[in-house]
Amino acid sequence: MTTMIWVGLGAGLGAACRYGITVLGKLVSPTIPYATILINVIGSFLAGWLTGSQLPGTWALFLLTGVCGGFTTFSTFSVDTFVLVRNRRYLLAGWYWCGTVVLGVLAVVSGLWLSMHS
Amino acid sequence: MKNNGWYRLGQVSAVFCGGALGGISRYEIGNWIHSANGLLGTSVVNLLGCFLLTFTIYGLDLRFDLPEWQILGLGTGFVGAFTTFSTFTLQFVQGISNNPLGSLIFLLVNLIGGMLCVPLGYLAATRVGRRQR
Repeated sequence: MTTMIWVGLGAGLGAACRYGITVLGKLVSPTIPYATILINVIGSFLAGWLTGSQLPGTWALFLLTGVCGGFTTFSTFSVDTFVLVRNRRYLLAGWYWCGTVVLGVLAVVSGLWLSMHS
Repeated sequence: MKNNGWYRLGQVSAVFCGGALGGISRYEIGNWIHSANGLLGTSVVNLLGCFLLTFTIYGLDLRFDLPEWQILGLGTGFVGAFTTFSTFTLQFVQGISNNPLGSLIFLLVNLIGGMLCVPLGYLAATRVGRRQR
């Protein structure tokens, strides 16, 4: 039961931060989802870093499963790509789709590396 | 009126509550499926979430004409926190040295499956939305 509360609190906080960044991102560019790229890459970096830091159980649930999991989003990433395709911006959609994954994977690796070398 | 502080606070609260429930659901589904390394749990949650997000944005909104805070709580909050990009990239990186083929399949299932579930949710949404008109 307490584990659920930690995960829920973290995920709520993560989601609220994601919403804030998305609102700001729409001011910068209404068509290109810069905010979602930033959110997923930063979240992946944090997830790698926190995993490498080997947190005690409750903190891992709160920060990793909760905050990082709730902050990053796979559904918005896929829907963003779909919307770009529907708007016939195929090249941008391809770049966004592959680019987010490549940057996300690199971010995890950097996070893991940093936790082992600090 | 739309931009006053209370209105914004209400929206953020809706996203927070939806997000908390979404995160708990993701965690519980992960525990319930309990596959090797949690790869299956992450895939199920991500694909289901892709379907649900287009269904919520296009279908529920069209059919019931929900106020903005409810769409935000359900879509941005619940479904957004239900799916996860960080666990997806993390599990891919963690698995790549021991099980490169499995990790690659995991990556492709999520990416391609997501791009199939999004239009599926959209199709389902147009059916639900049309019935009322």
